[in-house]
Amino acid sequence: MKLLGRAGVRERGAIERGAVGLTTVAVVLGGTVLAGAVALGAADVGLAHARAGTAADAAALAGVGVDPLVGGSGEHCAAATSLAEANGAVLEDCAVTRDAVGAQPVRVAVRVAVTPRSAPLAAALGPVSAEAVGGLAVAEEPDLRPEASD
Amino acid sequence: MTGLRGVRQVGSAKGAAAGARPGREGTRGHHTGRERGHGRAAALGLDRAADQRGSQALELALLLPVVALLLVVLAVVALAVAELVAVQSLARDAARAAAAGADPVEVVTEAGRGDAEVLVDPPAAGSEAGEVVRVELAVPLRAPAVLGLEHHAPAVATMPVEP
Repeated sequence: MKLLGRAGVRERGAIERGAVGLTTVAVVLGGTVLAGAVALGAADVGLAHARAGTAADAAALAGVGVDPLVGGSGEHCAAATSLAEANGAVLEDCAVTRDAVGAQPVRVAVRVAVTPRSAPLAAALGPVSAEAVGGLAVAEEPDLRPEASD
Repeated sequence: MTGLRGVRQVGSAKGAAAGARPGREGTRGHHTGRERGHGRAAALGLDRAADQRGSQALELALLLPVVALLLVVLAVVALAVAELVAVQSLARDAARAAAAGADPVEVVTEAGRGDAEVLVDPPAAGSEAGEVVRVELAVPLRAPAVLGLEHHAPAVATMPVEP
């Protein structure tokens, strides 16, 4: 009986030791999977942010590039929409500002959104947006006044 | 236990000073046996504790390489993520250069990515308002190469031609 009892104690000890090992393995694997998921999520969001920045720049430049001052059609937001879509983004907002006396007679401000590729992440965080402003710079007019002579 | 106490009491009730000794000796002798038993149990317990410590140390020794490998993989993934974002920014810069009439390959090379494949569409950008130029990069990532993996990061950017 004692021998059996001792064997029982030993078996229980072995099971407990095994349980400790399994717990450690589970914690390590779980932590790694969690960290990997966080890293991939951060990658997805980071890439979406970079793509949104590219799309916003392109959309703002396109909006400015079709201004009648440079011989364009004047459809600023249509051009901005087209370039945003070409870069995988959606144009959320487009505003054209005219200023006859300023250094930039036309300013096009856009906001675009890019959806992360991961569906759960997109559902949880929503689209990533970026903003950009494009403007036409007026070249300085040459000074035609005659120079003062002694 | 009860019988033992009885024996001790009987031994001491005999009154003689010497009479008490056998009882004490008997008791002492019996206690010695029990202590021996306790000693064995204690030794077994110590052995078991030492066994457990040893097995835990062994488990740790087996797990450490796995944990280290997982940490390395995580670090490589993080570096690859940073590289992917940098490649996307590089594609934007190359597209801006192409839209302005410069050479996008030169921009990529100056960024230290001479090993990248650069595809420009159209190859010679025009100068009309409304035209676009598309630059596609395929850059071999350096971070996964540490683990012997080869992966090309694609990045695309489209920019309007600057009039």
